[in-house]
Amino acid sequence: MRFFQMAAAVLCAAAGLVSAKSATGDRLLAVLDAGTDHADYSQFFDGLTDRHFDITFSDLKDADLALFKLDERTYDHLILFPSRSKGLGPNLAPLKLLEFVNAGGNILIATNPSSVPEQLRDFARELGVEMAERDAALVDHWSYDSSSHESHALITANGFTGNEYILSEEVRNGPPVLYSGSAHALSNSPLVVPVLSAGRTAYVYDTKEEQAASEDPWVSGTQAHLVSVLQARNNARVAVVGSMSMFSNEFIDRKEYGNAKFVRDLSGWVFAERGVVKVVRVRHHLMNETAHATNPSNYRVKNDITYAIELSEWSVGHWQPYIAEDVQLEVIMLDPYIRTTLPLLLTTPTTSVYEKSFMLPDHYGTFHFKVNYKRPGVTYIEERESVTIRHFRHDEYPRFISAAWPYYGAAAAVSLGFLGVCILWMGMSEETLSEGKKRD
Amino acid sequence: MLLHHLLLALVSTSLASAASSGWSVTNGKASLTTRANSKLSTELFDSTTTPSSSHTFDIGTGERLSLLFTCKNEGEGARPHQAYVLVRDEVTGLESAVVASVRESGKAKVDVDPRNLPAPLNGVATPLTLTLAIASKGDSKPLLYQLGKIANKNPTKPEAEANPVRYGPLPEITHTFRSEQDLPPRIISMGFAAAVIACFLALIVSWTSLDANLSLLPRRLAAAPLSSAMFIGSLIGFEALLACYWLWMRVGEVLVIGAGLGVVGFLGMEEERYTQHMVRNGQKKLGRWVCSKSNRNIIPPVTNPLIYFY
Repeated sequence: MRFFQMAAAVLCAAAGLVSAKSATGDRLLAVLDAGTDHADYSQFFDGLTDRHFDITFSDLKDADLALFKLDERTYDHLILFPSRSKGLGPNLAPLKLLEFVNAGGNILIATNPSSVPEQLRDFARELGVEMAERDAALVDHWSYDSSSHESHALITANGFTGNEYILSEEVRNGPPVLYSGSAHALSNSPLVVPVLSAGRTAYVYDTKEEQAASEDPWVSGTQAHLVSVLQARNNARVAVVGSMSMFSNEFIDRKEYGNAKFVRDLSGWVFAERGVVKVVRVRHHLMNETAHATNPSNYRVKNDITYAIELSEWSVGHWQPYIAEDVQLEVIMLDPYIRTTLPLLLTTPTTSVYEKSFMLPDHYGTFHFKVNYKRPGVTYIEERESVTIRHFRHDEYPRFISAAWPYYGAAAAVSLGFLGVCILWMGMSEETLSEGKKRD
Repeated sequence: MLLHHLLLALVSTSLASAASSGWSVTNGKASLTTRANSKLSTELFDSTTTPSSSHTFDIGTGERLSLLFTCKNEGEGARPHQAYVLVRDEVTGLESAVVASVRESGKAKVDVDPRNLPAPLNGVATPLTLTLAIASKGDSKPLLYQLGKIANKNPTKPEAEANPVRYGPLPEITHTFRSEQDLPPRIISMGFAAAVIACFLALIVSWTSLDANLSLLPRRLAAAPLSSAMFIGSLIGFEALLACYWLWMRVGEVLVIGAGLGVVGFLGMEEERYTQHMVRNGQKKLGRWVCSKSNRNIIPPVTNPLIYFY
């Protein structure tokens, strides 16, 4: 019953605050270049408008462009399509973009091989994405679209990520995506997830210097990533795409490829329409205890307690239960003493409850319960709650032990003996005690 | 038509084709070379005659695989845009490319040295598959030709896992509790308890053998019923209080009740002592307290108000 009330409250709050399908807001700034006509990308932007984003178009060189006003973000999301510029302008310098990400804003960046502003490469390097240099193009002599049968620069790629939160099932199992651009290499950071990778025969070559033969590819094979995303530790998301034309009407109109659905899913994930999980509440109490003793701050060594956490996932406009099999709870005092997997107990219409009962360790001190749930593609969850575990009171030890039986016997013998002596003293007649000895 | 093209483009299988169509590799020599450039073993390969090779070269420390071949496009020597040797670890799926240097005539030379491979492929125990990828722009059919495998004779790393997990569930930890207090075997405890009780029983037996009796008790109880009850009651009460304290009571309650019982017992005890003396000596009434030989060593019970009722 309480779960239901909590869920209803959350639903009302969600409906009131957010009118977009995005969990973090609907103000979107699309920064295009002088050389780009946003009519060329109208299908993509119309799709975003249909999903209730409030799009503001701006030019890269616009002096009024400001991501922050009075230290608050003026936009929730940013799309950056620099197609020809050599720089990003003062308002979108790498430091400003980093500040935007640190403040929780999501960014979608797409580049063309002929123009990768050096500032953009610096920003991408901050994220762990090593973009190829200017004028580097990706080719694949095996998987190319027939319209580029000479240069093989228009390739088809189907190295989709297996992550089910970033791309939906129909995209992952669907037709390949048409791509024309360059690729990047990724660092080993756990925050970065490659979304689309090239085939094993693809490689990036410098169109100006390696016309005859490829001698030193920037990346090649399955290590050449075409679309990568980063989810920062504050759950802001950044996507780096090596081909701006992937979003263009020309490519989306090619119905035999999956570009339309791919850009819909990619922008949906980056702008927090999917894969957003939050903790509704945490509840722990002594097992078999009534509800009023919830979340006490003190426990005793070796208490049996029950820990429950309630999670909810935002999926395209509404909260729904989040189902997973690897939600883990840790009981930590400097080191984890216990780490268990919490099984799914029940689901309400908007949340799911994971619960487990276990015995607290037999060390006393200040512990904390932590659910540290970080998975690629899903917002990071870290719920931490401190409890004190005290040791046994003097009267919580076992009262009688088998080693003390002789002593119990001795004590009883002394008591009964004393009573016996007293009664004998009262009732014994002296005449029979000793003949001849008379009290005078 | 487009779909057909697409299928052809997507399905990247390599293999042997007739000599005149697309790219091919001829006069291929794969030799295991030591650091001193002496060849230990040589294998020949040719994509036009053999579909693929699965020979495994065992490479020791400092050795490398030298490849020499000629690239041909439609039967004529030519320089392809892409001439890579793809090195793949089948367990992890990681693949790296070694670029071959090709001359205009199509003659190509490349050394596959495990030390120059990226860290995840360098020094692993599983054999790495080598594949030649020869392709260029234009319509010539590209070539993907499997050359064989190289295996490290002296692997430096344990076998790679199939899917190294980064953010993911961590191993479970269960707390091993300290074992319960060690107690001696119950039979020994029982034995000693039996010994103690046996002593007590021996005491009872020795009392009876020494002619203990309760012959005066009825007279005592009749002579002073209230005080006897108080006396015996307080004694039994104290023992019962002690038992209750042992089992469940707290110190505060025990002290309060003990104080009450103490008062009762004190009053009763004084009376009892007096009665004891009277009964022993056959006297029935106090009368005047005369100090005589018989009661010299008895402290008179002047503190007990009850005696004045007699």
